[in-house]
Amino acid sequence: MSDFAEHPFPSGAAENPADDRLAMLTRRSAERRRALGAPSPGTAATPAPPPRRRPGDRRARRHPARGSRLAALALSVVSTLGLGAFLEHSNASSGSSSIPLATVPSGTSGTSIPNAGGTSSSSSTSSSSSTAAGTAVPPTSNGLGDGTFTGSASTNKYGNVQAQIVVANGQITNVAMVQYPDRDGKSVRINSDAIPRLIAGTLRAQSAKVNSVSGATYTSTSYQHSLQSAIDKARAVTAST
Amino acid sequence: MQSTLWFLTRASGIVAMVLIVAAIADGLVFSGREAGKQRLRPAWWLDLHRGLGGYALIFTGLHVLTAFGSDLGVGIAQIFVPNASATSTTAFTLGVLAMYGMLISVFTTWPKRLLPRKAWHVVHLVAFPVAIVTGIHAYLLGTDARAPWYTMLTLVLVAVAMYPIGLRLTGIYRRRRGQELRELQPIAADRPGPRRRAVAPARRGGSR
Repeated sequence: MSDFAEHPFPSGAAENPADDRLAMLTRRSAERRRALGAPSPGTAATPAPPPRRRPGDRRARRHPARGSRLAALALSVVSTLGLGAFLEHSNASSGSSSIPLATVPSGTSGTSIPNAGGTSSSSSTSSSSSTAAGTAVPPTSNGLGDGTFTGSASTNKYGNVQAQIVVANGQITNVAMVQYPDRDGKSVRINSDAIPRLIAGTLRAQSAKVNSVSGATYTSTSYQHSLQSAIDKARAVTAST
Repeated sequence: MQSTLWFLTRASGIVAMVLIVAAIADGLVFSGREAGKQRLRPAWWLDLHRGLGGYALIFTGLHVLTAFGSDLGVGIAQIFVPNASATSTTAFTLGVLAMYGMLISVFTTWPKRLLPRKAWHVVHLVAFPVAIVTGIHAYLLGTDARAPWYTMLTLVLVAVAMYPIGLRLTGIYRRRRGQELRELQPIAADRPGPRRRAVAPARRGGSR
């Protein structure tokens, strides 16, 4: 029996060449495993490696719509940049619309849009942005002194915005624009629509907390700043008396 | 730089709105089982839906960041606190609410669904008011809201949203109608028919 274990083949018989081949392959495989640092089979319970994904096999893909997602992202980025460029271009090259605007009588560089809904008939005489042409009156409940007050000019990238208010009996009765952006046709078109709405909002609110006008964000913000400045001047006159 | 940021604010806001509508339409197609059986598989629609929702959030973030960076007087409070803006209060508040709605809709789903399925579904439906509120916010505050091309874009977006809603509603009607017909034919239902499997085998990745 032991003789059989040492010599499985009967003596005299030729050794099987397939065994030599098998032994050689086993030895090579073991050497390769050692070189790669992998344990030899049967020595440790290692988890089976994940099946290699074949090209075109979509079952294991985490994002089946990966290509479409990338396309959507690329399209969104390109759209944002393209739309931004388009908006800038259309802003720069907009056609002018000739809207008749009243000119300030004298001594000022701006134009004036009188208040359409104002109750006061005072003209839009503008004063320097640093002075307030107010006449002292007794304080009112609103805290504003009567008179005409010009706010400081507020500058944005489209130009200057400067508002002037007329206060009567402590109420803002009229608002006129001393300056507003009118360098190009689009500014004129936008502001001729926006400024009357801002003025109407001012007369309603009796303060500088006026809703911005859609499409005239910069003018609205500058208008609010200038208006607040004019209101501060009207309050200062009241406080000084 | 300020000017560039300003144009980016406008553009990213519009693109974010388009992405919101696209994500909703995609979700409706997917959840309404109208995704098709052959090439466009449900997993594909779901993946695209998630991607579009995420991109919508990214572009909303870009919109907010550029608005903050440009010289518009938009501060932290106006971005994050409803009713904090002294001017255009309604428009700003709607924008803030839409942003929070988007955050809720996305982050209760990704990276992990945080709620039980039914509760999650109810919360996820907040995407519909988000889209409507976004549209109102854009109309009230958007510089381009009065432009003809923007009007056209709005009409296209409404059509894109309404088509899958119609599919969904007709699907619901068909299913209910089928159920009623089955209830009206009890005898036919009792007849021995072809044996059905209790649970359909789960398809991994769909059939090709």
